[in-house]
Amino acid sequence: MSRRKTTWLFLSLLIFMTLAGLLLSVKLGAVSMTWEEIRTGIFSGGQFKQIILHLRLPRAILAYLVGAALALSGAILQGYFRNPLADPFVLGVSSGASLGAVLSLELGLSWAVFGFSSQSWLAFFSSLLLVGSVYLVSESQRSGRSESLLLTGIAAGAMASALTSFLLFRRSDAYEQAVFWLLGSFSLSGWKEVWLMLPYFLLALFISAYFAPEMNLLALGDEVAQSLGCPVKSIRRLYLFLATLLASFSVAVAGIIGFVGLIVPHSVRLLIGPDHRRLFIFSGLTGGMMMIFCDLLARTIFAPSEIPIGVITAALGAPFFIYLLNHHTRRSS
Amino acid sequence: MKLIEVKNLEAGYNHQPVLHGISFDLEAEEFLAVCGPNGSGKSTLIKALQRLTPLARGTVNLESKNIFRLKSRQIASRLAYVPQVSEPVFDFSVEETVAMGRYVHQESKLTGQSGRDRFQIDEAMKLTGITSLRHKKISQLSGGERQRVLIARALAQETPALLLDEPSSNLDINFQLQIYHLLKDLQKDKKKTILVAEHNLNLCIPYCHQLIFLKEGQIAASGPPGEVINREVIRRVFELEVELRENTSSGLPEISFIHSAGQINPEAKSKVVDRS
Repeated sequence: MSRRKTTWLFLSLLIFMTLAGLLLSVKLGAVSMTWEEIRTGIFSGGQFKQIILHLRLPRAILAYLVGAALALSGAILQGYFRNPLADPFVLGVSSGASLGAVLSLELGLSWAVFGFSSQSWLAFFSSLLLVGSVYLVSESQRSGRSESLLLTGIAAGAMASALTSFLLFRRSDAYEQAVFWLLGSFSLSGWKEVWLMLPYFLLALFISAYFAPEMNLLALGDEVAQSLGCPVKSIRRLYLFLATLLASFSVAVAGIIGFVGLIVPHSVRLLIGPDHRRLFIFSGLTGGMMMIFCDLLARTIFAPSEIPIGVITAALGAPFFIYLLNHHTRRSS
Repeated sequence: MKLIEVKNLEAGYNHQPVLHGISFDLEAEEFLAVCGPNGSGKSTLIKALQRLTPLARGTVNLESKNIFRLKSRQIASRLAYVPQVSEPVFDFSVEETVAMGRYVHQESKLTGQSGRDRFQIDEAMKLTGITSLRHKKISQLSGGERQRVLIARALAQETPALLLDEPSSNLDINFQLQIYHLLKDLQKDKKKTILVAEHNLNLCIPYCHQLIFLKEGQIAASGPPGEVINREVIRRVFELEVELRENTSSGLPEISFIHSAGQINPEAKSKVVDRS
């Protein structure tokens, strides 16, 4: 099948699956509803209005936005590092965020600003602070190579993780609360998280798609990109900023959800090719769709209790990813 | 007309200059080969001329303009770079790869490819003989085909000059000749200026107008191949004793290796010319 046909088929499938996922997310849960109850709940304020409009719908939409943001962030960083193994957390966003969240527990902070808890704020800012320091340290090495940024990120991430483990070790009672950050969850999400994510996600998607031709050139290596006329340094800075903010916002509202940012862009690339003009948009759409279903599973398998969503994304994503890799390798050989 | 004027260029990586005091001119529509031992700075020179090395001092004028004051877009509209063939990280198709050469000419991202873009992409693929491969992925191509794709991308860039980094490396002798024939045709028919970094002397001698020998980052000798190739220069640059003979088809000197202490094969049919 031609790449063009695959792309259209894929897009139709994504739209269909996303709509189906949204409907199922509204319908299923600890309290199951019939379609009739959903219809009356939304339009004429039946008994389920509260559950639909204030719990399930914002939660499904937020799951979509976080999935899309993580997948887009992963797609950007894989192109940035020319490495299909890069993910949104490679520069230490996740380690920085968990350190911030655990620090907030350790300090016993319980304030909230604009409706967001001290944990969310500390997670957000400490992840930005960590990536910012990683960037400055690697810039000071003046090697001009993205590998030094990657390695500094890995080292700083390991340091932050060590500190987090130490804090958790000292305060075993904080462990349960910390699991929210370490494995991710949408259990506390509402419209305010949606309104926080939505504008930034749309802006980041637009900017990254607009500069996708430059990312295609960066994927050939800095020297070649520059020789083709790409302003390498400014484009690199822009993408690093976009990807880090996408991951930090996601972590602040939903904790650390692994694997989506790694496998979604990679799988999409196998299906529709490496052109970032399509890859960015399709990674976003696929990541969002996938997260809706993962969250649906996370809250229905053992309802009314919930499994952390990171468990679902890895447990479902990994086998699918291995299947796709095998299938692709067999086809190309 | 001088396309590139280099004066006292020092260039390299990480505060470590590789090239020292390099000065030469590259005339428009000329074919220049830069030769020298491994590590002598051939690739660094090609990159420094396009401002691709982190460290560069001295003067490099491109069409009389200082390249250190030009934007990468302005350099890319005059010089096209053909790097050494490497394994692709992301598997773009041949056509997608060639189309990337048009980036520098695209004024608006929202309009997509113009008619001129499409014409230049098709023309570049036709000239390099890769039109039938347009939908293939780069990973499915042989080394020779990949080299052609990179040259096609540089042609799509529509620049007066092509700078090629060891275009013959990893290619069999047939492909090596094909690439050099193609470069010569581009220089003669399309009036392109060609600069190659090349380690295979015998391959580039018949094709180039000028030859520069680099040794330890400095110019050790330069001039037309008929004048600059002699035993003393080869000894000085490569620390190697060789014999020279005249190539029967080009009439130009050709290097013949001495495999056993100062002996050359007495059966060799070509005439031995000692220019030292």
